[in-house]
Amino acid sequence: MIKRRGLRDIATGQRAQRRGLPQSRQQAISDLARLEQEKTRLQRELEIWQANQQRTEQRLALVDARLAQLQPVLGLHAAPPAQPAPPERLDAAGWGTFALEY
Amino acid sequence: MTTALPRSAEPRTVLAIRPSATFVETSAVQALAERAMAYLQAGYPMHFRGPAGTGKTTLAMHVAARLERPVMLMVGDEELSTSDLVGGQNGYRYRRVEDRFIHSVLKYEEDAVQRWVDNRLTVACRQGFTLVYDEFTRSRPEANNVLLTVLEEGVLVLPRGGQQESYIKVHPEFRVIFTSNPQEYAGVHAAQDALSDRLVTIDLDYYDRATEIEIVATQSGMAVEQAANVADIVRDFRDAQCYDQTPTLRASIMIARVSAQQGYTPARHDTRFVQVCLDVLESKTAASSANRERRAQQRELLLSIITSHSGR
Repeated sequence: MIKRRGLRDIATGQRAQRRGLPQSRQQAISDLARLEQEKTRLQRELEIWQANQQRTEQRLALVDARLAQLQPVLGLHAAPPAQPAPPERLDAAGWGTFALEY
Repeated sequence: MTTALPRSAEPRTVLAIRPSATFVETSAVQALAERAMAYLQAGYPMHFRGPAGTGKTTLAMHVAARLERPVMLMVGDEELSTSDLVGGQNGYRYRRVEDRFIHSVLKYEEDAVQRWVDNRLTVACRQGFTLVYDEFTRSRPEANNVLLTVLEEGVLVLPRGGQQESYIKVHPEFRVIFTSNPQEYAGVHAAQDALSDRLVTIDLDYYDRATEIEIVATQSGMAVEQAANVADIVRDFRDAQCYDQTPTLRASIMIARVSAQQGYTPARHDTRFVQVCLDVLESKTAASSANRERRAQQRELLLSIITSHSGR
């Protein structure tokens, strides 16, 4: 009986990334196409994320500016900008050290 | 929304140990350290065993420093349990999510999971640190059972539960140095054979005269001739066996340091020096009415020893 090939036989993008190197040229071309498509999709997703981040930052700046205008009207003082915490003294690959002399 | 978690309770600090200016590495100390290093470099855990005041802990620190790895220090205790070595469930991680993906639908999700916190043995096994387990026989033997697979199979078996892994492969640079006092009778347990069999044990005794004098002189700042007098007084008193607690090198250092700081002369004619010797060494015999005669004899003995060494 001849096995009919169908959609289930086409490697998904995930499968194409995880399995070993394909043995046949047909498989290799199929995987290449899948992975190129996946790469394009991820690049587009990244562009959207970056655009969203920029837009959110712009909106946040506008909100901050408006807050700064409103707070004096209501007699409120703007909260001082948060100071970054001083870096912890680390050593031994990210560990704090306690010197001990014997 | 996720609630802010408290800072992790895991031990995030390691010891960077180094010799102090008063540390003395005599040929005897050097020989012991080199013997121990040979076993540690071959992957065996070391065990320094000896009575109080023989320098077990200092030697363990010295050897650990020579390994040039971060050190974690643990001290054996009756109350210590397995979880104090490996870690345990410490608090909860609480999570609440408000999903407003569709503006007209408000969906809450809440869950709380127990939070696992590694303790020193686990951290040392993971990171390949050196673990100094001081006076390990003060812990109950069952608390130390977890060390058996660590030292033999190189696997740390964790209690199963929650999301943490059940087994940890011990880092190849992980080393353990144990110390214990076999003569101590208060608050100690016998080490189980299974554990003792996995350790390389070096028995330590009191150092030779030259080493004791050098240590006393360096630690107290006293001249070597005067330090020799003090060390000889304590050594002779130790040999006389007229006490309940063995007078150790610590007693010599106490007498020498106080005398050097106060400007006392280590001689019989300086009553202040004699008083320091009596204060430090007489207390080695239990003070009770039944011991009154024995303490009088002990005082005579002490005075005669002080005279013989410093009466000139």
